[in-house]
Amino acid sequence: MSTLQKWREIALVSLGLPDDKLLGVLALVEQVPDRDQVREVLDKIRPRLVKLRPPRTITLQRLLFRPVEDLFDPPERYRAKIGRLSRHTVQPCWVVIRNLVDRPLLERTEKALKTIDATNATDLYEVGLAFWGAAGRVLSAFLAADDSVGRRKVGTESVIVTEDMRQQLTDIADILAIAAEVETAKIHLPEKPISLLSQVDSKFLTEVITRLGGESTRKVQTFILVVLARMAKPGDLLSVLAEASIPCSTHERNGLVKTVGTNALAKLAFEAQDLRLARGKPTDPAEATQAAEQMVSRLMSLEKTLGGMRDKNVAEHIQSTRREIGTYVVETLAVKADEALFENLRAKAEGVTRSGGKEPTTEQVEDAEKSAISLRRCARIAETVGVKREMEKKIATVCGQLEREATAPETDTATRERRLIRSVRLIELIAGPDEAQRVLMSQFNSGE
Amino acid sequence: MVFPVGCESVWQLMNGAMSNGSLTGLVANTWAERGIAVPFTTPALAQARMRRDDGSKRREFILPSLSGGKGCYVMPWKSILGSMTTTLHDRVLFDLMQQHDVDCPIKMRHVTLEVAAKGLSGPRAARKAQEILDNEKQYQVLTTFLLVLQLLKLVNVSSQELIAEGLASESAQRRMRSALIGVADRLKIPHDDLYGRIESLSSLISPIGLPQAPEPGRLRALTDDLTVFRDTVRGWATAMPDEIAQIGEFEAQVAEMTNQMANKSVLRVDGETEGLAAMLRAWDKRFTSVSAEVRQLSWLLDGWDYVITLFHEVSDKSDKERQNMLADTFPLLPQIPREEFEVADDKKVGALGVIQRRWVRGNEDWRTGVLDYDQVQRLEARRAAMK
Repeated sequence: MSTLQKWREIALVSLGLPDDKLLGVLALVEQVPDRDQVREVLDKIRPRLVKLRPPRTITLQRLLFRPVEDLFDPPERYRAKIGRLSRHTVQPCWVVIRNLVDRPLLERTEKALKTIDATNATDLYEVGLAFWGAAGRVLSAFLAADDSVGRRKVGTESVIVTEDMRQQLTDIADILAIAAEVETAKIHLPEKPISLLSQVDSKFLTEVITRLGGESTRKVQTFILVVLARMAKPGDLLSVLAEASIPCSTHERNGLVKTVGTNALAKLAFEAQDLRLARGKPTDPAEATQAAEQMVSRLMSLEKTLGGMRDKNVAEHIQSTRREIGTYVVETLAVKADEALFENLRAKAEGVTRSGGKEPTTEQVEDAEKSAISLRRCARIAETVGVKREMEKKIATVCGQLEREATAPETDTATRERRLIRSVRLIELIAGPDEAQRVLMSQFNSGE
Repeated sequence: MVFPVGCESVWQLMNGAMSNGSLTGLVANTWAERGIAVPFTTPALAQARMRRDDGSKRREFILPSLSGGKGCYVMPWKSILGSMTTTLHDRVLFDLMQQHDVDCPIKMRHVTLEVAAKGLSGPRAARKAQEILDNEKQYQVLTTFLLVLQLLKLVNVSSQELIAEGLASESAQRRMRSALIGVADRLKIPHDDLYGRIESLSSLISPIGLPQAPEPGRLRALTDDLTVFRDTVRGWATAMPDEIAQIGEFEAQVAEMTNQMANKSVLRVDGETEGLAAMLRAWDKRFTSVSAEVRQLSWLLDGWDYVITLFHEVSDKSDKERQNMLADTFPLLPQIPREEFEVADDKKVGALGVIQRRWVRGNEDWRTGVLDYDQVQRLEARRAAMK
């Protein structure tokens, strides 16, 4: 078995491990010098790590990518030309920088890393500042030296550069050039996702944008791109940008807002598309609905800022993003919640309840209730994403089905009462207490 | 079943306190005026207190100010229905409260458990409620048994002898019956009355339990919880900012006073059960006095179970969450009515009262006015965690 195959096996086994054991595997993986070998393990366990948030040891490579980390997407979800970066670019970029940056600087930085608190952003800023600047410069020089694509030799190693990778490396070089501003912003602004910009935050951002604008519009765009990725309501940042005093024409400024805004819209649409395409994957309904709500919130904030531009192209972008989210909500999220709800309730009819008994267990009923709440939340965002009628229809169908289940004949009175209450509860969670009361009363009246 | 509907919006502000801003104006004079804590699941109604209107005798509910300002609202049920969306659980609970004519915390608890056991506050709370109802039945059987054993000692029959014979065996049962007849003769009360009195006493005191019981009764355990609450909250308060530390100290003081009064009631009930023979002889007088003590205790501790549940929820959480808990429980703290107050400290209470009314309650989705079911679920989870 090759080393790579062994790591693959470890990746598969790791997925089934409890949290503490998984963190043990991570500690071992962190010690492997060749990241290429362990990338598959890390990619596989990353979703769990996102939830666990283990304290990460800081390496030179991790320090290098700190200013750009918010822009990375997993390779399978990466889309070109919307200002994002693929995680696949990390390795070639690192090879270039490791080979071309001044060796004593690398050693000095690595040594300094061992003396600081890796969770302290200010310490990291102080250690990384010179490194980021130098790395940005060598990367730019590497790209400027040869604009061809294909295999390029770097020191004793080589990297394959594609058109898209060239663009990504250029973006990384641009960000590293303003790493001081990016990292200072991270220290000053609230933790991501930033849901609200205070007056102090807006003032700080305006000052940075104005200062960078004095140097070049490209720097402003790069800065906005990074901070935008940390925003829960990206429109708020675009509003700050629109009002900042940058020495450029209104046309240029609008162009800047439009470029960054449409990139954010495209990213949003792709996110919804990815979620829809991953339909088969089991996801927690509450988490999935929360993700949809966050997307809607982002869309609304972008619409608020970009809608005022009265640009046909932007309006189309907004519409297509809304459609994409709406389709996800009504065709995936609501369908999945509906399926999960009845799957838990009907386990009884098929005799496959978790308890092996005749009725769904407490846990199954709770899961069904989670799905019901998910449906209700879908209905709440439906109007914003243009699927109000479809969701109303869906809700009516689900409630009708629940009402039929509630009123189905049953010989045993206790079982009948339990099923009635269960269905009525679900109807309440989906359609509200008035509808639930109507169903309950209709049953009492018919029983009298 | 009749669910009253209507939108008679009669928002009355509680008298006195609103004009002078003093909390002393908010302290009820009697238990009946303070009302019974109702474990509603509609967030805005959580732990609202129910009482009878002096004039019309209809039920009205006391809610902490929804805007977080001073004072509180007193609303009849119809106005509540007209002003906010209530959960189906709360509508059914109110209906049953009327049917059972709930007028004390013990009846309230029974109705609450009945509704919860049906599943109207979620499957987990239903399971818990059923478990509590079953346990309480068993606990009453145990209390009866312990009382009988106590009586048997009067005629020199020891529990060890009966256990050795096998409690369920025919010989032991026969021996027990004949011994109880001996007890009745000795106490000069009719044979048939004896067991009836034991049953009534057991039913009355089982929420407290006997001191010799292997597990304390619910109210006795809650009384002990108050001591833990007082000491822990005092400890937390020392490291908290001044404003919240004062609230913590206030809550600890109320817990301490409540605990002192509750302990006195428990001791008096224990004293009566210890002299069981004397009690059975002077039955009417002594039973009335024990009833009054149990009633006093249930009123005294009414609402504390919710506060203690919130307290347990944050015991292993961050300082910030503990501060939030203290702020959240402050307006809900079961106050001791003026006529029950033995150790009054009005000045301190008055000063803290100003702080008490500052906290904002965000309980509905402000955009739509529809129920926030995430909050409803949190309340239901607390119901499932209560004892």
